[in-house]
Amino acid sequence: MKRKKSNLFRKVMIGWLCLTMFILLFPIAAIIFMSFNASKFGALPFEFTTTWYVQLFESADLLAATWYSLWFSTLVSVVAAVLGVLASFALRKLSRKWNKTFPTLMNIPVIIPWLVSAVSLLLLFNLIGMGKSFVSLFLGNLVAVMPHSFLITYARVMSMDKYPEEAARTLGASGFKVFVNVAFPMIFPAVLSGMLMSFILCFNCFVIQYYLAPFGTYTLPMLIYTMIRAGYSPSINAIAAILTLFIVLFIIVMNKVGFDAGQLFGKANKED
Amino acid sequence: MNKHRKKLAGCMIFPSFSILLLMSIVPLCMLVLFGFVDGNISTMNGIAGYTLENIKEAFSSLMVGKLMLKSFWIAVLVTFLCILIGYPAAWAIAKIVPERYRSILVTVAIVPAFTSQLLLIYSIMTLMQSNGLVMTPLTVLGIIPEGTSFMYTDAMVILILVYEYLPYMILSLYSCLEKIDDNVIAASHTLGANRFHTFINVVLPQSFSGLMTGVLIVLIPVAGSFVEPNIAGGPYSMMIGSLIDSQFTTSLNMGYGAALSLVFLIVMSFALVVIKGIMNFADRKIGG
Repeated sequence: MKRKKSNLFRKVMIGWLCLTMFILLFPIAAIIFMSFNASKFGALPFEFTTTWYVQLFESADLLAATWYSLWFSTLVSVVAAVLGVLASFALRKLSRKWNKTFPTLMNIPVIIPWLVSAVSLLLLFNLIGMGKSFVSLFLGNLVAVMPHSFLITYARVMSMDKYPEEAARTLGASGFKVFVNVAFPMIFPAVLSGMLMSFILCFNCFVIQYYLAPFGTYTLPMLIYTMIRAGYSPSINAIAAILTLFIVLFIIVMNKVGFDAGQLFGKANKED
Repeated sequence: MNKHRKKLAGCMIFPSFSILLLMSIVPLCMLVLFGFVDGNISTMNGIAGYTLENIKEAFSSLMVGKLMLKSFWIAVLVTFLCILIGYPAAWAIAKIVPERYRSILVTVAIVPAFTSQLLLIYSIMTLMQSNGLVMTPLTVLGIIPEGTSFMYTDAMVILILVYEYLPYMILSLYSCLEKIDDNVIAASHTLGANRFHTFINVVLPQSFSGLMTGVLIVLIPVAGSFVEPNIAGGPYSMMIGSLIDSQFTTSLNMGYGAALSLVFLIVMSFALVVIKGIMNFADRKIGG
């Protein structure tokens, strides 16, 4: 009797899970499906076409904005990763007080809604005469994504085994060499996943870009916002389909890196 | 030697510390000052003058109060719906599904979280329009009368927000539920507790930290959202975020916008304290 009831419970839960996954994926799948539909307004019945893809690659705006978002996010995430690694290693040598305060402070940009951060940054930049410029855009996005990169790296650095470094020291390696050959490879998976995380966040960080991007500069989310407000454009379906494909590939790469690294460095990696 | 290393550490932490200070903490503190600014802050002339009106208006206006209440009500509703849908799903991934499928399910849940917010909004709008993929079958089957539209209503905004934030809730609950030891649950069953009591006394207290993180990363951004009501909401679907945004993009009264942001921050901090208090109380009540 008990066995039977337990099976029913499991079935209900699995059913619920399938339903949730369906809800999560259906809109994205539908938009990809619609990108091959001839109707301009995404309406049924379905008629196959690739017009929207052709149109996408002919319209200079969307491609330029995608390219801008890509290189800009790469720049921001690399800088965020470097700063995160520096800060994490510095905290190992700094006092307990720093180790308590700094990560807490790092949570501030995460907790404050992006709208409020963007607004306050815009006012500050206006006050000092910088206004909307590339530097403002860069700094605004950096401070929005840096905490994520830092917190992932910091957690790994703190749980890191000290003995390999001490052994390298005893064997005569210099501080720099210990870092490059021993410490950094140990935390590399965490740094990489922090970097990928901040790349994605920066790529999608619409609110801050909307407020701080200089006039005439369009990142991809900004352009999509303008397009949606102006009306329905099927090219958005096409770019959504392409982006989703990239995201899936991206996540697979992320998993692969994390997984392989997890095997290389034992179970400790699973902690973060 | 030690002094040299301390110095090096100071240099290493300096860049991130100064960015954090100058780009996040200082601007937030300066919102207090900006709230008193009369009109706009331009790049050319800086601040033109000061006034008390903005702060007075932001604290006493009935409309602001109503919008604030509405925004937090929507945020609580969205968070609740996310927990309702997400908790069983996260439990199923963590404890019921065979281990080899877990990472792929987590991956599937991450996909919408990593997709641009704008594209998610757009995809839901495409689906829900009156001749889209969802509405067409419903009208054909006669479940809803022809010409019904959810577009540009509060319900649409809530639907989009739930869809956007559900993955975050699932992931933060999953990472917590996964750590619960199976043996503890088995022990609870062996000792005679039924499913409900096991959940209340064993599972729920151990997943409180995940629940708390989930609530934090859903409730606050939802309360401050403005893109969703701007795009998918009608003229009456405004939230406090849309009002703040309009001070900077359409009505151009930055001082008032800053004052509104300040009020929003204060209300938000208050809400956070209340939530933390409730969670702590519940944690002690249930866990003890």
